[in-house]
Amino acid sequence: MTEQEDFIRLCSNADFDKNRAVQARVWARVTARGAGVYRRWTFAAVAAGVLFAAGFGAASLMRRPADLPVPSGAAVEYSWTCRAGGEVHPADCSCLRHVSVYGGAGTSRSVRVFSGGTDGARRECTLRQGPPELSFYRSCVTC
Amino acid sequence: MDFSTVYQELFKPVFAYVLLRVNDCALAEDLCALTWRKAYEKRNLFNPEKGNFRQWIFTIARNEINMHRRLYYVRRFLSLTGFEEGLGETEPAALDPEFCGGEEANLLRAVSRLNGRERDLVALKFYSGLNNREIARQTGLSESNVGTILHRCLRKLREEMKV
Repeated sequence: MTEQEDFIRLCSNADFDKNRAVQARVWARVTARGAGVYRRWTFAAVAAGVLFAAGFGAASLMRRPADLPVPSGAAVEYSWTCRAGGEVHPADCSCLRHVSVYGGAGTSRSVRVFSGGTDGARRECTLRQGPPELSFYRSCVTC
Repeated sequence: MDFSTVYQELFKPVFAYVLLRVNDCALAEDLCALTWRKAYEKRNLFNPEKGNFRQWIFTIARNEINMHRRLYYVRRFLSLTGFEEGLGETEPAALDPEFCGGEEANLLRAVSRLNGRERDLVALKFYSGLNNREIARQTGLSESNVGTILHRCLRKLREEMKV
């Protein structure tokens, strides 16, 4: 037997579980009824739920405008306005954010900010220009 | 095939193989449990014509370790708590003297100096009972390459363990 084979045999005899405690614990885990099956199904169900929620959440975030608080008195009658770099941009709606205040003066407390892009349904915003810009919008809406 | 008999016979070499690869007793125990559970669930699929059980269980163990390593960074990213589990590239984790004696700890420490591929080859050589050709087939290396790497590793190990 060569020196190398002798060394391999020596190392192969190393016993990392002298009192067989690990062996017993692992056997208990291996033979535990349905442990693996339930764990796998639970994981699959949770993963599916998380993926669904993430997809749904992302889609609704993209679709739904964000609600921002409006200071008292800021809510005025207002139509669609397109903005670029914080300035009213009456000509082109693409790559802008659409800002709309809902309700009349003193009735609404929310501003909805829509993400930019050309939207056929909101094309009318290019035709109308809103009232003088409120300082509030300048700070809250960025294109 | 009586699974419990095979388990009694092969648990220690499989555990030693996994431990030498991951260098952490607790992690080795977990990976062993995954390995044996998979073997237990798929035992009806084992085909003796393709190879013996020893080769089969070592292939499963090797795949489990590789999967663990692949998913290491994903788990680390997703972990909500501090991530302590390592890839076995550092000093061996504190060994329980009850089941890891002085010689074994010495061997683990020496093996931890090797890189991942060397450690895989050495652990397969020590515990799987495969010859160089079979190890080469499992690892995707050439037989002569396996022989050379093993020769170099064993020399390093002998030097480390003398210290």
